[in-house]
Amino acid sequence: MYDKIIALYPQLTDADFAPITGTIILQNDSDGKGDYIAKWEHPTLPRPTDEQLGATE
Amino acid sequence: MAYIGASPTTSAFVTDTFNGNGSTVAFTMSVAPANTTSIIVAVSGVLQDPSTYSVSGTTLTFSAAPPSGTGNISVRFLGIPASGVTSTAYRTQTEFTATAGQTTFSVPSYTVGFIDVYRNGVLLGSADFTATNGTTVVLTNPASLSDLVETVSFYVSSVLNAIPATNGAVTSAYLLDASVTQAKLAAGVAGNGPAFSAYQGTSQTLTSGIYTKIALNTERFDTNNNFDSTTNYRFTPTVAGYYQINYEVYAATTSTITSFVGALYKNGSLYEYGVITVLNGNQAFSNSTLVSMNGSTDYLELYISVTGTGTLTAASASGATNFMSGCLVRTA
Repeated sequence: MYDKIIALYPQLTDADFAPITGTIILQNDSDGKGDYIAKWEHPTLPRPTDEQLGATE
Repeated sequence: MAYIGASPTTSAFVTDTFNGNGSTVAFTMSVAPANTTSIIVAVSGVLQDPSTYSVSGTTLTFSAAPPSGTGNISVRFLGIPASGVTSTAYRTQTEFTATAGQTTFSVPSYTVGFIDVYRNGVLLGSADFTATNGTTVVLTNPASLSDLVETVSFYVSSVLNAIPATNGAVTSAYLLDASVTQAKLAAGVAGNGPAFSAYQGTSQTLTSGIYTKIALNTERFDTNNNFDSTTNYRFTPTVAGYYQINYEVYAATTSTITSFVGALYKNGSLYEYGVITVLNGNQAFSNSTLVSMNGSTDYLELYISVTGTGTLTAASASGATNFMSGCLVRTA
């Protein structure tokens, strides 16, 4: 998930994903469903759609 | 009469007497018996089988109306409470030596209808005296000098108000809500609310920057079956209250960890956490906290987020790392 988002938005930095202080939280609930975007509060970049994320594979 | 051992103790049974009229089937008793077998009923001197009548509270109902007769219906109550009798007189006998023409005698308090009066050893009929105020007996015919007037009065009680003396028979229904105080508890008595301890039994590979739920898939104990160690790895207590929660998260790396977060989630959202930054090797974070839980839908989970390089692992150590435990410390 992290790599897909970086591929879509190369301008994102580690600070955007920083625990607690970052505007983007990626999460995995250990339920076999994999990573997902739990929070997206980036001030300028829109939350990527499932289609966008799928196209990066 | 001679006895082997202690002489038997006798006591009087409270008795109600009614007049039959051939049509009335229901009579009001002075005491509410527990059931039909708690009384002995006789009609015109003939013992009645309990199947021929019923009781409800103080009402005695015959299946067929007893015949007419004065005082021909007798109801004798069985089972005067055995507990507490040491401080209560159930039968009181009083003797008086009358003065010439005396009619009124002050006796210990009695229940109206439950007093017998003897004059010189002869039981008087109901027409021979008046006893309606609970404190005096008035003879219809004045006594002669030195007549021996004797009264026998009875204290009326009901076994319905007695607490069963059988071990284990007293239920919490007899206790007023919120009436048990701390002082009434024995030393060493603790609550029996939910308590659990679970840990990660298998290491999990982490992706840098991803909040990953710790799969607490092994239970040390789970007293109330409130911890899900198979699907969601969460604690969902079924008793509302305040829970002491303890947890630890641990991550290992083959290279470098630059940021580390151990987080307690409540209902899927970050509740409390600890952050460690500018790190190098393996890291751990432990914490304890008090959490209010509603006892139905609230749940707690443990998450870890690590940023770093190399292979990142939430490393299991057979319960020594990545665990959560808790217990109810106070109900809501």
